[in-house]
Amino acid sequence: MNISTVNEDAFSRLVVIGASWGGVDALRVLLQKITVPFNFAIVVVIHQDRSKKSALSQIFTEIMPFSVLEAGDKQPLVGGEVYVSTPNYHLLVEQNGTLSHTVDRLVNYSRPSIDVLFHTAADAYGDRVVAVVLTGANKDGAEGARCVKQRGGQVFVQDPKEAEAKAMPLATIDIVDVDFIGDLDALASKLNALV
Amino acid sequence: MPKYQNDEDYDIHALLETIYLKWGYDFRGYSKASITRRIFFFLKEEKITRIPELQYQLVRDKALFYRFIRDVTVNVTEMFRDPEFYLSVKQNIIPQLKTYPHIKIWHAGCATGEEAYSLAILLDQSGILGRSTIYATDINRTVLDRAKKGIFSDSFLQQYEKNFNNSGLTGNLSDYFEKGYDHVIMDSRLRKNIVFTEHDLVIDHVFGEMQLIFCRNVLIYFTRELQNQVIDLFSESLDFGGYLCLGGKETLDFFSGKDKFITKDADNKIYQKTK
Repeated sequence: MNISTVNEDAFSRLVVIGASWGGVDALRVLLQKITVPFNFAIVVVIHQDRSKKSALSQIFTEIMPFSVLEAGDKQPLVGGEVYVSTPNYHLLVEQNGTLSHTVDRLVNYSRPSIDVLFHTAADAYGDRVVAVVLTGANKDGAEGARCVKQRGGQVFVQDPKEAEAKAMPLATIDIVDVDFIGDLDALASKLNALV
Repeated sequence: MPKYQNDEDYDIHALLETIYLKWGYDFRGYSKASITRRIFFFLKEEKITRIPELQYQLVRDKALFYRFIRDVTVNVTEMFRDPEFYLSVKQNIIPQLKTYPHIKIWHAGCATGEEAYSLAILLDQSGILGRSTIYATDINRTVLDRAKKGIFSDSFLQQYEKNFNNSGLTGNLSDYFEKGYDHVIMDSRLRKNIVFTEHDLVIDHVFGEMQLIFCRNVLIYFTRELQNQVIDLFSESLDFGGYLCLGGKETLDFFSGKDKFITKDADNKIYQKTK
């Protein structure tokens, strides 16, 4: 059997972002503040209507100075690019630096689930993972963020006071000793400071 | 560079090797993140603390192994998943199927059968169910037993009805089932032309000359190497002019024999074998 090895050079850090209610606007603001070029890879899970196709990557690509791709099956992660989830599919990070999908049952009433992304990212990349929890009206992401912390990664959370829906940031702050809480400006600065 | 990322990664690989050696089921080409998650759920379910312990017991305990297969290979499906796909099948494939005296269809990885019944409904409305045989296969015996019964929980009924209404079909989904207390029983007329049977895409062989193969949201669980092997199996099992339908995230783009196919509907992942 062929066991792929990790391409250490493909990206520096793995930034995983979870967003739900109000997430599209928050992401737009956050991503526009990312300094180009950057050498980390960004993977985003956003809750969307499961019965619809998403045009999100297309919309974002038009306004961002970098590629925002809808995550492909077994797509290799590359620094400087953003990968967005597809409605009705869980998005997972593999240990060989690729993305994969499942149609496994809903987690936190969601598919894709932020927990699934965070959990698999933590398993695959441990202390190279930075998890970012943005606005949302549920608890998805909190357990996954805990897992990221346990594996030596960092957790940043959007300030609940600024978030359009504060439940998701609060749920994470509630159970995780988070590394940073701030508004989208401050979160972008933290990401830009990553080496 | 070490061959394995960490001890847990090693444990998973060792477990999958052992299962292959002992039982002949080959999960070594499955995507690791997903199967690892499922194995950890199974550990929790069985109250086993560590993977090497599971490995030891799986060699010795046949009943445990059957529970492992039952839980670890179960896939989730829904009726008329992706309605626009069914609409495309109706428009792009059904007219050609109508020209055949007998129609053989392989629905690979049918899980609990929701999509096999969906396809049977589409064939029925097209007037060709009577001369069609749907071979609906899965690796998991337990889900096949459920599929054969054609009894589904009604918790997703609303979603299924919405899907049905967007699939270009006439009438209502309720024309095809009887409502029970908390479940629906599919019309036995649909079931007559479906043959549910065990088949493992990884180790079993070609499946007759098919005019249509459905395999949706199964390949995503496999590595690219295994995907190639399985698509090759499909290619070998298809008649010239036959169709292969994959799931939304699946594609022939990385398949070495993709020249044998033309893309009939890129959005809905419908391919036709032409060589």
